[in-house]
Amino acid sequence: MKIASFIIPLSLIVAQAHAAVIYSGLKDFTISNGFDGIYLDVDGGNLVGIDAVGWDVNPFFGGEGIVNSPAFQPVRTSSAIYAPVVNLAPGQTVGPTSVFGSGFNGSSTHLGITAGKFTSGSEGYLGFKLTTNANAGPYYGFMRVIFSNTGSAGKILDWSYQTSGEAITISAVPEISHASLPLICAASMVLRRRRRK
Amino acid sequence: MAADVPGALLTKRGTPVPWYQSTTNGTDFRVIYIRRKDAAEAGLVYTPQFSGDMTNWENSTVTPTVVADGGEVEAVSIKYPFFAAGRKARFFRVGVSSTH
Repeated sequence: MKIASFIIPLSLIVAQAHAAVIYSGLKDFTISNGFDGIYLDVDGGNLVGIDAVGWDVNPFFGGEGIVNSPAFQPVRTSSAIYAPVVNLAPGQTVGPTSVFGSGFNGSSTHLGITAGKFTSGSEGYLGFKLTTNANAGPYYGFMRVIFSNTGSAGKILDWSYQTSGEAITISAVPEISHASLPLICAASMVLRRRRRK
Repeated sequence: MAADVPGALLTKRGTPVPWYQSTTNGTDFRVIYIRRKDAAEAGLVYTPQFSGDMTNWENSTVTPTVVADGGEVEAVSIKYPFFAAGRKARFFRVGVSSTH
């Protein structure tokens, strides 16, 4: 019985490590209703200054406008410049066959009521291809966001990306990140010790 | 010092100033700048330009709207684009040339 309780968490940990998915944790960054907006360094996991080294994506006016650096390419309707970023759904896949642009690019027609558009004030998923600050990648991922075009602030809630370079399926439940693995190990050991007592 | 045009009254001349207002389906984003009212007679041509990097500039082809009168000058506004040459249009300038 004791052996079984140890093996099961360990196998879970091995499976998660093999998946190589990085989850940001809940960030809840507010996208202000102004032209500056926020500049996010996705692999750094934090906000940076305007045009600072490492910035990946810059939503502004509550998410009504989006600008991306060459290192961060959101999934779009086409590879044309300023083609709208697409709102994806859980279950959809982001990977090498997704449609991306290149270089610096922008989007301002991604909010609306038709299929593939973000609904103002509601959660949506932005797929992306990422090259890290250390020039690793491309990695595929998705970001949970709330965009607004009515004057309200928007949100970047969290994001996940696959560091194997393989496609990733959008999931409403966040994957466990590498950063969480030590916590899982610790929790597993604490549980085992309690059971022994 | 930026221009100020409260209530369509030009109270202070100055550099161009961005302006925006939220609407029910998007942001009305504009830039306001001042020009001479007798520009045509004086042979002056104003060319608003936007850039994301201060190197590549895109001309605006939008016809300006007069928003305030200041006697010999007037304040006009044009739509401020989000992007210029693939970058965020963070910079604005007005080129002035003479046809004389």
